[in-house]
Amino acid sequence: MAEVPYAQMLINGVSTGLLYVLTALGLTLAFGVMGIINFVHGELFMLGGYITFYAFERAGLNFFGCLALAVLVMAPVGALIEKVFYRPLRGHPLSVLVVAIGLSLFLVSFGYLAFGVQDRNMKIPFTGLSHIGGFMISNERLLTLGISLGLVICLYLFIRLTKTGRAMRAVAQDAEAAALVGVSIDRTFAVCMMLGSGLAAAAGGLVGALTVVNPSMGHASLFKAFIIIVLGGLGSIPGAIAGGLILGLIESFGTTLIAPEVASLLAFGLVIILLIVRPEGLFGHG
Amino acid sequence: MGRNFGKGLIGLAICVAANMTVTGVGAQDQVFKFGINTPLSGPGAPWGTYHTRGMILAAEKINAEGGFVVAGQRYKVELITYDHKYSGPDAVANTKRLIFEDKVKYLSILGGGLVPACQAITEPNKVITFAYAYGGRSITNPENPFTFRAMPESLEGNAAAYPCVLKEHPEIKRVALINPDDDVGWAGSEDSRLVAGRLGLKVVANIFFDRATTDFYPIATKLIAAKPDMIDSSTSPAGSWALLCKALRELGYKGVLYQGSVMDVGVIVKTMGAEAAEGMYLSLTVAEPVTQAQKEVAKAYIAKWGEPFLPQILDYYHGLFYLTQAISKAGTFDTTVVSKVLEDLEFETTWGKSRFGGKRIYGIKRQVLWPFVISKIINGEGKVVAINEPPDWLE
Repeated sequence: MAEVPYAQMLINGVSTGLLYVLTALGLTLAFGVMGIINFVHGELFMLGGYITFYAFERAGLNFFGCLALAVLVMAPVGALIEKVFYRPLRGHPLSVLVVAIGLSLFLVSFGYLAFGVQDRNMKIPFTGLSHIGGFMISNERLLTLGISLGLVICLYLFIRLTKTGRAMRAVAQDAEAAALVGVSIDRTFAVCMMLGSGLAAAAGGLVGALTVVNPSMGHASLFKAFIIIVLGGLGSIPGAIAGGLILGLIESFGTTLIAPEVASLLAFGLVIILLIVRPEGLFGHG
Repeated sequence: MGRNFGKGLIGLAICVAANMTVTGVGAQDQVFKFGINTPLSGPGAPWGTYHTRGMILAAEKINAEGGFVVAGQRYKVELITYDHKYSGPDAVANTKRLIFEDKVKYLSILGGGLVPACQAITEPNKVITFAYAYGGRSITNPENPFTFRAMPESLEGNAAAYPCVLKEHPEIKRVALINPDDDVGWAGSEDSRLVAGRLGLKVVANIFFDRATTDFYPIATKLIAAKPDMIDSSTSPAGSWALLCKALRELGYKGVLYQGSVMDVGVIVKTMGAEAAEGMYLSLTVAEPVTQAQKEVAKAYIAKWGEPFLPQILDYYHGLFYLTQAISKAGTFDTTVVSKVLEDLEFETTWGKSRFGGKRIYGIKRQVLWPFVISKIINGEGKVVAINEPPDWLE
């Protein structure tokens, strides 16, 4: 490689990483607050992508409106899933896991039947390129980066500054003690699922706009989200942010400097080494 | 969504429909069973749908014309279709079912990477297999004399297209290759390197990517850093290629883009924008039917399914015609005899005169050859710019 495009690699990694963060946050919330591995998370991401696609392509809505619609539709769906499928099985994490896997498979099959097998492409919502410093980035990608960052900041502020956010942190720390001081576990779990589902839907809409929408898009994203939350520390929001950015940067630098297949090797190799040295992840607690 | 739900149900029902007797088979007709082993669900389902529908159209036309005659007896075509979901174990299980339970001696398999596994069953049992799969010499070789590749792949497409592209762009000296990281992609890379080498071009990058990749910015950055005059992907699926090209143009790549396998032009243009797609060369891809015969097939397709006709269906349409022609000429269903007839048969397809060749490349005449089309994206549409006979060195 004659000239090494470090600036381009950096922005590539950060923009990809932020999308990973957005996808992983809901998953880490579910584990941190509810203590469950929400396997349906990938399909909530997928359904968010389809809602965005249909609203943008077929109904002709403004792209921001489409994302908002995806979030507004999928957030209550998340709460419904918690109430109908997870709540009756509270205290039985293995049963919740099995039900979540089954629901995930059901939703993928539903996706194929309802939406068809073809990949769906959205027209480019924001055309044009921006030259910033030593790199180029499409306006579409720049906006995606901005929206992702904005949502991550909003979530962080929500968790830190609001009463519900404090309740979620209390439940994550000790659910029994939180209940004793009057925190409603049912309501907290419902809000947690709503937040996670809304974030997944937004991520699905953004990724779908940048790439494609198809019924199996959730699986690949879920796999990476798991890597990120384990890397960052299960239940840790700063951990998910760090993990997502690290994965994005490794993939970017590894792919461009060496080869795509090596980038995956590096990423997973790092996760393995890190977990051996620090099993609780970067920001997790032992 | 309701319409898509209905279409999804219809799509899944194709497997059942194709397993029923194709129209035109009466009680007194002898039946010629032909197997179809293809993905009808999962990510490969679009190709499997084209495969099945192309064969249904062909079978119905053959039966409507009275079937075909073998040693004085008339036969009608019956299709038996199984869904392998693009899974190796399922493809092998379906192959066994077709051969040992359904007693077929002729079948077709769609799916690069799956055919070699199925050949372990079909070849020892002397089952003639029409392979609709990329994979080069891993599929087409003298060790598999009963396997006929019934569609062109990137070698044939590139051999016809590269001279055409170089004629319009004599400045091209450096080529970068990008393909999926599997045996289909490796074979495609080998094909491109062979053609590039014959034309004196330097391969400056040879990259493989995971098929699940959707963010192509890092790969595009790597490709651009190699400073190629042309970027060739012979085996990337349309969606991946479109996303890669979108990233390439966004990152400032101004050189030639070339794709050597069948593509959906609409997907490319929509994903990357008409302006960015302008001037892209596509081999083996047509956006609309070209010949009169193709237009008639398109008409029949639309009448039957009420959906837009995609010309890649033609690849799957031709096979049953020349197979039944070969069996008629052989006067027997003995696959050893029929395979000899097939390898020397000249037959008509909707592209014109066709035959099996490839002895110089594959060591055996098992690669279908017909005039190959080269298209270019102009004003957001794929336009045919040349139809070239395959060069002599492919015979």
